[in-house]
Amino acid sequence: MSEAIGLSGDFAPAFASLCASVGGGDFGVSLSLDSGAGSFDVGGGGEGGAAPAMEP
Amino acid sequence: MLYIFPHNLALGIEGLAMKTLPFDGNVESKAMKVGHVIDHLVDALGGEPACTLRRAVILADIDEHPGTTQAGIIQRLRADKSALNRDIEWLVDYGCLRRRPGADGREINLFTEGYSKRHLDLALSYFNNSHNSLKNFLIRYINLFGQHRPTLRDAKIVAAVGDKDPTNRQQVFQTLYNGPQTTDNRAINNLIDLGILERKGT
Repeated sequence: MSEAIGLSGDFAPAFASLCASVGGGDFGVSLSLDSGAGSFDVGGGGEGGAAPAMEP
Repeated sequence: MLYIFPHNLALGIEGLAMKTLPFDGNVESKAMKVGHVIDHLVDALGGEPACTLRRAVILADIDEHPGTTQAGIIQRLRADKSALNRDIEWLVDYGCLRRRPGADGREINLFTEGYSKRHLDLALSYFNNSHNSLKNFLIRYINLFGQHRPTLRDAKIVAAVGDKDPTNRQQVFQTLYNGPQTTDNRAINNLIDLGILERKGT
């Protein structure tokens, strides 16, 4: 039960990018809820940045 | 340990999921902020951490467009109709939404209920009160999980681990929502199986 756990090496950068978007205001781009984007694919964004457009 | 803060007491809500420090942009790490947003969403969604992030997006969309119809949500979010039906049923059953017949007697208009809206507002405060930013953040979070449909519990676990990486299960459990530990443990194991979390040597 006391084993150490962490974010996987593949996932951590995507999560860091997501975290950077908190408090960043309006992206100005609406993403699609059922776009089916790939795993760990957070794209651009960042604080105040533009979110990636995704296929409908 | 459950902390009760003045802003929560003012809401008059019992059994709150929010048990971390209130919003303070100077103190919170980014991952901690993500965790706090999720806490507020759990409170907005009937205190149910098993609720999907997807339903939080739908709730935020309806809150942004009071009186909207299901067709309006489909158009804005490009959401699958049958899945949206189930999501709306769930949100109504949990008291997060109210339905009201439209003027023509056929249309059904949707509104967020008061308690749900108040907690959603707390989550929105992390996004300059922009519904669009909150929705985009949640959709991006959902997409990180690939084919897995993440729950609020999953999202909170990832935020807790991201904040204290590396950490251990016991520390993660303390940030969660007083549910059965077997459920929390299973969720962590599932995230390891999905390649989102990994075991680390100390």
